[in-house]
Amino acid sequence: MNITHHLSDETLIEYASGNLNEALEVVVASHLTLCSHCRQRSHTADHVGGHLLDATKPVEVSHSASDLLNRLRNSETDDTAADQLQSLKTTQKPAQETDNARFLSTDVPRPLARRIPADLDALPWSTMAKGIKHYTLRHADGSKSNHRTGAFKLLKLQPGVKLIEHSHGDIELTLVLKGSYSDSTGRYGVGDVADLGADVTHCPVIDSNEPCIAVVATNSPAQYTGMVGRIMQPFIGI
Amino acid sequence: MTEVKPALDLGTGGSKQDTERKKLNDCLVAIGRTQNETAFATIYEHFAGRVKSFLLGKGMEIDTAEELMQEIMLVVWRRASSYDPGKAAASTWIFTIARNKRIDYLRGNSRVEVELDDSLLEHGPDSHHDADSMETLAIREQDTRKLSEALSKLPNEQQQVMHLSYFRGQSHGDIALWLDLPVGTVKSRIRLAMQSIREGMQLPKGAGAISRKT
Repeated sequence: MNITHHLSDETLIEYASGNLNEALEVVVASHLTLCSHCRQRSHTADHVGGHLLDATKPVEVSHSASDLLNRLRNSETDDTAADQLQSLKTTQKPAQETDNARFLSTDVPRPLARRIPADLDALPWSTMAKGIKHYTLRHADGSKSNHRTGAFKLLKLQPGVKLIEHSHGDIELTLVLKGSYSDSTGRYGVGDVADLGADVTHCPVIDSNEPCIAVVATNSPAQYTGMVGRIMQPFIGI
Repeated sequence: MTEVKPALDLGTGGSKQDTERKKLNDCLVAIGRTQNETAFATIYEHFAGRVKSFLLGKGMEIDTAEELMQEIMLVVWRRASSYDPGKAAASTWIFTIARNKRIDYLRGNSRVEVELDDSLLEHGPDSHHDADSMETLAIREQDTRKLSEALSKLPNEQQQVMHLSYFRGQSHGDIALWLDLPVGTVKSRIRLAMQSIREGMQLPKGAGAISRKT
């Protein structure tokens, strides 16, 4: 795979800090699967996080290490206390993720494959406009994206389709899964990610012989009160 | 506008920090091997207040932050046997646990990550490591030192933006509002900081191919 368009440092740091929503994490982790270069950069961002944790001024805590271990020991002999200790929401692997990976589609990276029921060609695509189909992705809890959570969908664009000129929200990631497209920022093939900020306006043209399939995610526009006007024009203004 | 001072002490990246870091790494190993409670007390002493500061900085209520910090420190206690000092500093290992637990708590599901047994995983053309060592947080001790030095040498305005990115707020948009700066300035400071860090660590260049129009 010859990847020429990578994730930006800003996005990798948002990912390392735990600031991205689930949809953006799926696109980032999918690109990282296909791109060892960005995977290395992502590891560096984690190490930076560790160093900054070291350098951060600690705040006061209300219990000591021995309090905590005593609490643990008591809880091991007392299930009620154990329940109390676990009273905070604990991680529940979403039902999809407990599925054996064998049954997942292998034509897309696993983080995305876990969120689609079939291979790309077999998905129930909906037509949006001539030559443009889409498939709305669900989050791990089964919810679909909406105007408050930001976009999370697959797009399938026929060869020759030209999208109207549009600008972007604050964070919008597009990862090409099949085919390719070109715009003023370059040519995007399989594995390439368009990590374009609000400052970019472009009009992509599908230039592959086969349809171009891409996954698109944006951040939650509600977070950015000052920018609402521009935000709701993601890739082809869905 | 709120004045945001970085609550940060990056030191000078000298040998005292190396010694301190090594001590913490050793403690984590000792917890993993023998459930050493004195070692855990040292780790807790150093990290509990920092982890709680991270959670508070990200907007968590104080009681919840205390509870979740304790849960995170228990995960450290339980999982210490999987810690490998050859791959990451104790601080990096604990940072990733804290970050992931916060996401679990807020969202009710896990952070989405690369799956290392994915058949599509790309290993890179210049990979002369075996698959296992490539796919970890592998970092050599001398790289840790270089990273520490590179961070301590960053100009204040870059240190501030990096600290805020990781430890305060929930987006670069938030940071821009706090500092009363355009988002573009925040992003360019982050790019410059990461560039200096990579140069300091002698790692390959960044995104490069993205031709941004300004």
